[in-house]
Amino acid sequence: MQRNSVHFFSVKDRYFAYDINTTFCTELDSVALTIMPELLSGASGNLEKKYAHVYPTPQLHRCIKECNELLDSGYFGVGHSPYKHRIQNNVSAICLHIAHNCNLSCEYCYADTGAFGANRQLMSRHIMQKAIDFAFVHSGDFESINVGFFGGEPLLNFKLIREAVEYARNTANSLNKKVTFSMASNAVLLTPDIMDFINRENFSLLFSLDGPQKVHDRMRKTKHRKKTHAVVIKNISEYLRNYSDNFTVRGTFTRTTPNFSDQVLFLNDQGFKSVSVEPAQLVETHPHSISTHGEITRILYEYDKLADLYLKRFNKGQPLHFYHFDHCLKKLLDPKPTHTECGAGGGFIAIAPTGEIFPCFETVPEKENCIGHIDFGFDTHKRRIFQRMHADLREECRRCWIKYFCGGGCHAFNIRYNNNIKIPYKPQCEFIKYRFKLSAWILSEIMNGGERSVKILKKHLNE
Amino acid sequence: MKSKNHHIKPLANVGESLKKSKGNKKQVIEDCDKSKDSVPACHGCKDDCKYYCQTQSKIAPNPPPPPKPDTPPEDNPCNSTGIRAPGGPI
Repeated sequence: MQRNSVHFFSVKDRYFAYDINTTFCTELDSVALTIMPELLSGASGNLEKKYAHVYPTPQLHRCIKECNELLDSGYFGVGHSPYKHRIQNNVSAICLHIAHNCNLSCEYCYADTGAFGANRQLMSRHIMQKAIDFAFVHSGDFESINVGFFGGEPLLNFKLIREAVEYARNTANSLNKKVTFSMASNAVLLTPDIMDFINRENFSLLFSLDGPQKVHDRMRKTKHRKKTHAVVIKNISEYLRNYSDNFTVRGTFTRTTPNFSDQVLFLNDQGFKSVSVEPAQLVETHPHSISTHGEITRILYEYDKLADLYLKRFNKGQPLHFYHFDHCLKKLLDPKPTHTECGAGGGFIAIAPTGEIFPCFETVPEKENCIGHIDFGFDTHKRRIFQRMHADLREECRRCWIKYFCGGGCHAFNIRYNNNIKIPYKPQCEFIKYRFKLSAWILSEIMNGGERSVKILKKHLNE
Repeated sequence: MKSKNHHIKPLANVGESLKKSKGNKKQVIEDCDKSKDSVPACHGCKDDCKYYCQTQSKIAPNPPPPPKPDTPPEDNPCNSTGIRAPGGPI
């Protein structure tokens, strides 16, 4: 047995054991909490006798049997199997920074309100076409690639988006491949014509909306300080009503809006089926950043509150959508260890309006993150830094119990906050761990409702 | 835990697999052709034999361990930003 491969934790008066290597999690009662560590340590003596003064023998007998069955299953206490990291050279998704400009001037914007610390500019047709060609040339044996449109606000360059879709479809057809599209937008410039187009082309969409009017309008204003909540709600609701519910709504919270469970509730109450509310990504010195221990603890409090709400709404037959709990619950139900958080720099690349290649949209525009140019190809050495990176190459992650659940965290955050891809960004680690623990608690509670409740949960998670 | 009958409550769907595996272990096929070697092992005779597939790649007596993560999850969402789309992390 592998004593060190199991992490024990408690949350909301529940106790769990988590296999670090398989990411399999189980709840334990007090008897199992006594027996399991003994078995993991290779205890060979008579445990029934050893603990006879604490628990009745039949209880101990049954518990030992249950624990041994789990340990024999291959899911738990199995120990470390060396990970063979395969470098992904083929591109499956490309993110076009179609507009380094924005119609909004959000106070918490990490991208310098769309300018990315440089001149405001739109991507040219020439760069767009070369970028799409580049993606297909480097797609290897991938049968399909995804072309994403990002900004700034991509709809400021909607004419080019239309052209890009046509160009990518023609290119894909000529190569007997497929192409899909995605876009992240603030939804202010959505018109019926645009909605019709993105729905027809089956775009995977992410709209930014922070939730209630007071929260949203505090941060998300136009350059002329005009509030945007009303128009955003109107546009997204129209898209939902007339076209599709297949989009994600993403809200942002900051140090000054830590009660983000209200944002999650508001977005759910609008009928949106995919909701994500995230902390603003800002450097420590920014007035809206979340960085001190106190600020992080305040956020953990809110996740705690949200877990209660998630369960309460589930039991009322009105389950909430919250990306991080949904994601954790899926992975708890179907454990799949992962050694990297994403494919940034490998299967996924971002292209700036200049034609420079970056590992992902979060790493634009810092020159040190640039891994090539569509005119000259990849800078193989710099790309390899991202392609090779995984949890076990990070010293702190190597010792961390949740490393194969999160995959070692976000490359871009590590670089932005610690100036080192190998040093994890601590607030993110805290949030991931706490959300995971709360999700284990939620799932345990739902499982108490029997098979039917679990079926309802699975259906909800697959919506 | 709510249940008084169990001391552990696996959160993954392994519960079913555990039950099935226990069932498989008890089943021994009588007409197993063991003439091929002297060590009890799978000869592909019948799939409910307790030795079935210990050396072959069908249903093993115990549930298989989770898949080894040999490749980065290219199709996973961007966990850091909540931004996601099919085919890539944006």
